[in-house]
Amino acid sequence: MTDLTDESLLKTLCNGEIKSLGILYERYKGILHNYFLRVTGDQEASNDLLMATFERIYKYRHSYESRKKVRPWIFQIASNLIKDHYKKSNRWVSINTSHYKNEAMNTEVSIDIAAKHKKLHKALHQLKPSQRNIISMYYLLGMSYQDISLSENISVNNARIKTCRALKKLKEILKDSDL
Amino acid sequence: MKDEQSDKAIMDYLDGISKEISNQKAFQHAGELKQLLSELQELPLGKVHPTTDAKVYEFIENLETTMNTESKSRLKLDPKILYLTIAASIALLFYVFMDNNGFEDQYRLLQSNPERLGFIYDLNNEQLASEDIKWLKAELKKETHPNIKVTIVDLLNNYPSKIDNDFLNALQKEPIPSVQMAFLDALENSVNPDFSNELVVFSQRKDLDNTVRLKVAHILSIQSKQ
Repeated sequence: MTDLTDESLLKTLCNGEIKSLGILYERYKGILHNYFLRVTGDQEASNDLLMATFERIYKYRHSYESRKKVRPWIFQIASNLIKDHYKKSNRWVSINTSHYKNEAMNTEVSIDIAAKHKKLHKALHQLKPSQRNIISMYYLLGMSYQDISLSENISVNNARIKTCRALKKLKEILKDSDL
Repeated sequence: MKDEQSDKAIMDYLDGISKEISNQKAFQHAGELKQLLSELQELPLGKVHPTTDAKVYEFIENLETTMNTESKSRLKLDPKILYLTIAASIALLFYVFMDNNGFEDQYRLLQSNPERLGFIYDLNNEQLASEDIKWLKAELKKETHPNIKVTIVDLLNNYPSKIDNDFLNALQKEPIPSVQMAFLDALENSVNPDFSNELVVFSQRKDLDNTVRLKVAHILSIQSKQ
C-alpha cells in the first residue's frame, strides 16, 4: 500500500480504507509541520495545526476532485488552517529560537551557520504573517503560483508579485539588521 | 507599474523562465534574492513531536474502530458477564504488573501503538541497562510501525557505544525515508566509525530520497575528515 500514489491513497480513503490516512500522514507530516512552524513560530500551535490538517483531510475527503492532484489540495487545507489560526488568535507569538540554540550546540554545525539561521528565522518573523505564509508556500512547500493564487484568492500574476515583494521585504529586513 | 514590471522580471529570473534581466540593478537584486531563497531552503527542518504522531495515530485508530463497529452487528453481552470479564481483566493486569517490573514486561502489556510509542519515548528519562538495550534492539527488528521504529532508534541514539552493524543492516533493509534518517542520525553519533564503505553502497540506491542521500554525503564527509 505504501507504493500507492497520493491520488490512489485518497481514493482508497474515500472507500473506507482508513490506513491510507496514516500513509499520507507519514508522507506529509514533515513538510507540513515545518510549514506551520515557519509561519507561526509556535511549536505547540504547529503540532495542533498538523493534527487539524489530517482531521480535515478525513472530514473533507469526499470533496477532493479525483482528476486533480492531492498535494496542492492538502497544502490548500494547510494554508486555510493557517488563516483560521490568525483569525482566531489575532496575535503574534514570540519566536522560539531554542531549535537554533540546540543546533549551535551540535558540534557538526558551526556557530556561524547556526547564527545565520537564527538571524534568518528572526527576519522571517518580522514579516507580516501573510508575507511569511506566501514565502513559505513558495520555497518550502514548492507550491505553484496557480495553487498560491487559489489559496490566497488572488490572480496568478498577483501571487507572483506578492511573492516577489515578500522576498524583497525579507531582504530589506536582513539588510537593516546588518547595519 | 514600473515596479510591477521589475517584479515580474525578477520572478521570471528566480523561476528560471529567463536567465538575464536587461536592467543591471534589477539583475543584481534578483541574484541577491536567489541567494536568499537558497538560504531559506537550507534552514534546518524540525521534527514532529512523538506525541503529535501518537495523537494522529490514535485518531486514525479511533476512526478504524468506529468504522468496524458501524459495519459489524453489535455483540450483545449479558451485563453480568461483561462486569465479571472487566473485573477479571483488571485482576489479571494487577497480577502481571506485580510480577513483572522490567520495561520489557510493561511494554508487552500495552495494546495500542500510541501507548507503545509514548512508553518508548518516556524511556528517554530512564537509565537503561544492557538487557533493556538488547530488548529494544530485538523489538526494533520486529517492529513494523515507522514512528515506533524512529522513537526506538532515537532512544538508542543516547547510547552511542551500542550502535553497531545491526543498525547498518536495518538501514539497508528500511524503505521509509524518515526511519532511514533516524538510523543515519544514530550511525553519525556512533563511536564505531567505519561504516563508510557500506554507506557509499547505500547512497547509490536508486530509490533513495534526496534528503537521505544528502545526509549520507554529510556523514561520509565527516568521516573522511576524521
